[in-house]
Amino acid sequence: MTSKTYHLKHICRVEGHGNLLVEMDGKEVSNVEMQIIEGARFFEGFVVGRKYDEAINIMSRICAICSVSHQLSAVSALEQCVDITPSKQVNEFRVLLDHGENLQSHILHVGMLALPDFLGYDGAIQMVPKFPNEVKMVLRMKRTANDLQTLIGGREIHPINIKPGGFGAYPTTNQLEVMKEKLLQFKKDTQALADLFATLKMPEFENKTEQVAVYDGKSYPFTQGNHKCLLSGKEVKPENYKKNFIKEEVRDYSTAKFSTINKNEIYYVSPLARVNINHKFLTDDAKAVMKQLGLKVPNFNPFNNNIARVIELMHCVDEALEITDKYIAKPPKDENKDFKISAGTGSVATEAPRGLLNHSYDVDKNGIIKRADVITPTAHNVGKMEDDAKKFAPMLVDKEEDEIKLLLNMLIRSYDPCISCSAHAITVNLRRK
Amino acid sequence: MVDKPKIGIVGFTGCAGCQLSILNLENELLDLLELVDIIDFRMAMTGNRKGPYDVLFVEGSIVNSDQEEELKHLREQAKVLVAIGSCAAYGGIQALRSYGDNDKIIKAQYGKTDFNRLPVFKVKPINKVVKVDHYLLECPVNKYEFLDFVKYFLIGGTPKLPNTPVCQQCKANGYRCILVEDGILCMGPVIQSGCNAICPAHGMPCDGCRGSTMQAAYQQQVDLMLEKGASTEDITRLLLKYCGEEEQLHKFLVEKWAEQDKKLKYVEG
Repeated sequence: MTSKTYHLKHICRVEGHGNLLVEMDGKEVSNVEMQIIEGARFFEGFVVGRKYDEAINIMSRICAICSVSHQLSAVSALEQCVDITPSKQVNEFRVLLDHGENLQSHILHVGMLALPDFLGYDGAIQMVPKFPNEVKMVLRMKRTANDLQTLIGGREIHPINIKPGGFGAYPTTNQLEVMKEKLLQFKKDTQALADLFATLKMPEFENKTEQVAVYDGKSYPFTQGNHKCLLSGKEVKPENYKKNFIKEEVRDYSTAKFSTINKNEIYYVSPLARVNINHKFLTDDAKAVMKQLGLKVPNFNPFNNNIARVIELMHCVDEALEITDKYIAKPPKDENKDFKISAGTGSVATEAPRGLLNHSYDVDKNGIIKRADVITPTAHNVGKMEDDAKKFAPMLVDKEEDEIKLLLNMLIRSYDPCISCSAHAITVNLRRK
Repeated sequence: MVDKPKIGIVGFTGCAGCQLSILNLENELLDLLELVDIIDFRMAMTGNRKGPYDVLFVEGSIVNSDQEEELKHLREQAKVLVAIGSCAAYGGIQALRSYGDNDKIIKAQYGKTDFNRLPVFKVKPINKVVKVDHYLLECPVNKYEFLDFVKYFLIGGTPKLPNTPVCQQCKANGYRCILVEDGILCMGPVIQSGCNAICPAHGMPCDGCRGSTMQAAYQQQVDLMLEKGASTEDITRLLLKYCGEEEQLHKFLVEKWAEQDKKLKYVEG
């Protein structure tokens, strides 16, 4: 038997730099390495010794696409540290901002990074001549999502309006009314996108491992909750994330750390994990999209993350509209005040667009950060991506090399890996013996 | 018909926010594609060509020798090379390592400092490795500055920075001065404008992400912050965020401020 190595170098249409190495000996896969080659960045080290509120903007720079998630997670964990309790209004505007990010990240992925694979193009740019209306629709949706992030966060990427206890400024009623019109159009476009996805076929593949998402038993939560496991049903409080739960290890071929849960168990965080665990709490229209796209839960096909993203687009735009309506009827109050701070510890489990995100800090009585720890979604997922590639590659041996590489690329892309996040993905190297 | 200029957009170590900013030009992107040919944009497409480029936009800072070699090779392929964003231009957040205890920072992240296959060097802005023809600022890069650059390039010129401090745009917009009136430590007086003072617009202090304005008065800025009750440590932290390798700031830090903040150390990348 001949051996063959597939080294997918610099996987495209993902954020950051990563390679996938697959070594095959006939039909046997002898070695798989998910190599995160993004330059190491050391954020935890940067914030130690800084004032607690400075970490909001610094942690944001871990990743552009998830910058809102990092800021919101940092501010929530740090508020716990120094004993500040945000008001209901603050929490609702944070959810609204977070949905801006979810919409932006999902439409970018679904419309510009994944769709070209299913339609056979190098990218959305190359789709323009044949699919002008679809590309224009995706761009219009992306614009609206960015407008929402700017309205609440002050800037599309790396928001500037978030601070402990609340926001620097709130939008006016007029601005919220304009936003509402755009969100209504977004909702119509989401339905059109769902109709398009109903015609696409996801590759068949299943890898039944544990999945983890944030859970509160009453909503489809993104900004706060406990960890919940799909298979075991285990629920873990945010502060116990490393107590007999998540374990991280450093591997020499990757700047991202690898994580396992319980006792060396591979697990997975993602939009699909969220839908699997929290589908009961989707809005009615999101449930209708789920039905239309035929997603059966629990589901273990990572390619169905694309379907889960379309479902979540509907859910997030529905919730964004609900919050917008509420504050058009009753404009937000300016409730900024000064806080007394105390020493303490704070940990949160949140959902970034691509899955579970952990932030945890210790702060002393002067408000200086003594310890910081972040586990990003892609760091949660690198082990699972390797495991998937190990199990998926043997199913592909009879295909042409180009198709094997495309399908392995699509597999990794389905995780929407955020590689600059994780190094704080991907070239495929396939070696066949 | 004349060939459209060939454009490349590449990223080194950073958050990919500058590349994302370009993708965030939703209303302009299709018109832009009529005028230029994007041949390399790994974050957005497959089938990329590694040059030759008429203009190459580079995001991110350089943190190891592989990146150094790749950037040198890319420079050979590019007629014009443009640094986009604070990481490429001024080292970015990562450049904090040049002023801190590098081993301690690495250990806080990975629990160890000896890596066999992960050589990590000090952080370099790209102009420490190759010649840079133009800089586009902000963290992430201001997408309208990017667009302006492309427009100027197409008609044969290069845009100029405002070379006024953030305060100028802040005042012009009629925002309250939170530094003088509220004593909130704002970097506006020494930072290059062009962002339309979005932070003060929200009642938040300028965070200094665009680098120094022309002839930035750092000593006066520091004196004012001391007068408003800031400690030496506060000031060092405020000065050192996104732009540690920016020329004027770096010069002030090592030549003047290090005498006042005795703990400040700089180790060349």
